[in-house]
Amino acid sequence: MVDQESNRKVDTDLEAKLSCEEPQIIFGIGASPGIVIAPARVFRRRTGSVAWRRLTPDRIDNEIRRFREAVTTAEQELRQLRSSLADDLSDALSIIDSHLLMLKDRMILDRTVEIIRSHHINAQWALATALGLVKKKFDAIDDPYIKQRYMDVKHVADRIFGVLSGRADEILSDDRAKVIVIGHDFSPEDILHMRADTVLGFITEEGGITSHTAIVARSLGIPAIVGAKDITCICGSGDRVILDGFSGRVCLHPTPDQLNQYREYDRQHRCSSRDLARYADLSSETLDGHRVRLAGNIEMPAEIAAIQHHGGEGVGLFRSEFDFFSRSSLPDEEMLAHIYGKMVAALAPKPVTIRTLDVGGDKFSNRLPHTGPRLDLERNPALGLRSIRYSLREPALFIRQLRALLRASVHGRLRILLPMISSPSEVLAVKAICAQAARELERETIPYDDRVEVGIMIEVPSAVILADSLATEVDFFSIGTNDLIQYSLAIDRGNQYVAHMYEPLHPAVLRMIKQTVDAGHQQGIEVAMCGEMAGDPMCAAVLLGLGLDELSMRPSAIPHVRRLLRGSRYQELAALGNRILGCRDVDEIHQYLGRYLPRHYPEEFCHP
Amino acid sequence: MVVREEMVVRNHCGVHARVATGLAAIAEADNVEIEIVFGGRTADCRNILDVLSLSLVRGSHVEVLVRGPEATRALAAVRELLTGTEING
Repeated sequence: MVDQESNRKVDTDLEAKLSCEEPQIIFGIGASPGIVIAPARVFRRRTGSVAWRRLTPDRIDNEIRRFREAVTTAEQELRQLRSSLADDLSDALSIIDSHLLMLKDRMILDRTVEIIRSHHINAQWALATALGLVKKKFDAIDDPYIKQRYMDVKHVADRIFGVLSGRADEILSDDRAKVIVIGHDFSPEDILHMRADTVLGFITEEGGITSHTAIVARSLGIPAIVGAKDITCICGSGDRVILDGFSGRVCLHPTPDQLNQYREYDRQHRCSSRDLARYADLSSETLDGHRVRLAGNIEMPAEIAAIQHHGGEGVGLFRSEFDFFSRSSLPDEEMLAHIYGKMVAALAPKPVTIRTLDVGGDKFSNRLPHTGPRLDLERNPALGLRSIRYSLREPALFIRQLRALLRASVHGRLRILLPMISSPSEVLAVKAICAQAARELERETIPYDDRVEVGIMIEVPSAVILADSLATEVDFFSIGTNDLIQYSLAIDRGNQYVAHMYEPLHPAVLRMIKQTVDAGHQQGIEVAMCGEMAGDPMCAAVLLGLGLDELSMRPSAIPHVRRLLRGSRYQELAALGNRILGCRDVDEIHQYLGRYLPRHYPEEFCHP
Repeated sequence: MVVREEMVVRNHCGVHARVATGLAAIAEADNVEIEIVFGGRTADCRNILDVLSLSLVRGSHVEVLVRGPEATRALAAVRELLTGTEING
């Protein structure tokens, strides 16, 4: 009894500590680039309680009329919104068109009417039932991209619910203050309304970067973060928030230091986007002639266009999972070879780095052999059967991908990147399989480039420690900072209680980067970085100073980093790198950079 | 007039909302009835949710049926939409 009470007391104390206005960092997914600082306006999810009312038979026709009128009103709202948009917002227009079709789809319209009539119940309840049936249908869809379109159906139904319950459009408030709106989820139309308003950016708990809401935010240039778990519980209206749409980071109750840092970023981004465009066509070179490759991270072949647009010098990381997850069956070798070959040819002679299948952790598909049951049993998937471990366990699937990669290598400069290597024996095992794939192709007289480069991700601490041995076995390294930071600092950044301890500029992380660079250079191989950190301008100067040969980032970040690089002298960057390596803790590093960056890059980091 | 043709979906992300909206637009513009048959199920292209829930991905083999006076023209438009080489599709 006493114990329970004291436990409860500890719990409450802990709650109080966490809920007070301490600085806190929440990680979501950067869905639309840009940085804004403003108070939050939080829209908590209305508890989804739809009232159930039984209707007397004489009220039924009336209720059906009420429902049809609500649909008509919703339709008018959408048409009105559509006609207010400029023609160049073609993505937004086509999304509204699809919503207009959904609004009048028989699974929504006819079925709701039918349910009202047959069950004698009110329109809201009937609509909720109809929506539930649609959800069931979409739940059965395997393809993640099409499955996600259920969110669109829900947005459409929410609009009808809104009309039926006489709810005003809350987000269209006449509040004059500039705010960041935060909610469980917003529809694309909500975002389209926001633009004329006083909304500087938005953050949602739901959604991914391919959601229609994210697409609209990008085409309007509204900074946005999606997938920020529990943010509507953690954050309250009026709380000050920094939204960094580049990295997906939300700083709640920011410290004065964070505010200064991000104001500088903000200025840099806002004042310079026009000026930045010209950096797409310039070389990535310091004032004293040191060259670094700035490449892009992508997950769909179509994004090659974004790399070209922003002047990327190659693909530093192509996440090859999409082609395995998005089809009715596993892709065959022919299809993969075709997709890879086209990408490689599009950028030739620039390098295209393709990472082999990186499944497990939070990424798996029930179409892949064996992952389903096994992952259910895993208590700690981050330390489980994932990535290269999975590929080595499923050699038939792995050979298929390796053969496709080898075949694509004849079209330009292809680099094969192996994820999550934790010991040299894994590299040897992969090389044996790769050699077998090459022998097969030779026997079948299918051409491939026998000098194709094979590199490894450095993202597990053991790989850093053994970097000198690993360097003798491979053609390049690519440091994956997201996992390296999580594994080395033992921080799950999806966990709100410890996420603030996730720190890219942690001295331990910087020393690991340096150790990897040195080990690679000693063997004469290139060392790249393809984590989020590489595209963060605040980190970029330090990383360049540590001697990385390639930074690979979101394509839109390339011009920012290139401008910084072109305004630097390599000697000074190297001195900065050394100075930072000498720092004993994170605060010292932040303080030093807070003084150093504005002084050396006034254009980038100073206030007007 | 009724025309039918088998085709393979080439859109990179499969038949998602924009493609499904395009199918409905063709049906509307040419005043025809378009049906897609896949895996023993048939969807009328005026019903976007039926089309989406067929879950057609790149590589799906489908049969397309078009009914109406402008069936041939509409079928050509459907073929262009589903098998065209548009990179973002």
